[in-house]
Amino acid sequence: MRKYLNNWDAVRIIRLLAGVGFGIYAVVSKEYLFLMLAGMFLLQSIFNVSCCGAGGCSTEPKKTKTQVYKDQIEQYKG
Amino acid sequence: MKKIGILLLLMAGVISCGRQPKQTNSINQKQENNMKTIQLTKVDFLTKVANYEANPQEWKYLGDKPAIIDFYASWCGPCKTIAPVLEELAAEYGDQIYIYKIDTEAEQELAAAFGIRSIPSILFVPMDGAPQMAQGAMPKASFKEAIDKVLLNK
Repeated sequence: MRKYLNNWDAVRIIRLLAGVGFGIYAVVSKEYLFLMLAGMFLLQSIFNVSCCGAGGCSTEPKKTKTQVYKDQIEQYKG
Repeated sequence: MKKIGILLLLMAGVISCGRQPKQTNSINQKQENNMKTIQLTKVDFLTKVANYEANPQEWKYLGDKPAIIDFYASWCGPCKTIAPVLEELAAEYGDQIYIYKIDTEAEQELAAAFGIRSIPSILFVPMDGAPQMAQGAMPKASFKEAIDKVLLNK
């Protein structure tokens, strides 16, 4: 329970507000499809998760450094 | 009204996929103190794993035991999923291998040097032979298989 109450960063608060906002918008405009979106945001906010794939998240590396050992590191083929 | 809806949906995509900033509270600090995995900085990497600044052409492992290096970020869900698995493996194989962790947000230069585009990225470093990189979260059984085959040559 404690981990859900801690680490309220800006993105998490925005997700919470977006979830509430979408919920209100869905009810007011009677576009109930938005309730799903509201639910998704609220769950993301409560459980503090982002929308990565199941296996991993993409990240953009800093472009100031050339890659080392590029030809020597092999791809693991499990 | 539809335009507002589309605009909100676009905003949703941006917010939904946004990165979460680093978590640096006291609870995390306490958890880190109990960890069996080893957090690496660039300086540690250069002395314990490979000095890519002095020797950028040829891979030369500097450690005395094989190693697993986990490139991760605190905002990455799959990284959080494998973190306890790596802790368990560190406890099980503690005397045979090192399990290092590199925070790609804190060590951006290190991540860039190894061309990390997907996290978690797992680098398996045997004592002899070429290191092998795996992308994405793996189940514990796959980790054990990789440790036995790549690192311990069983």
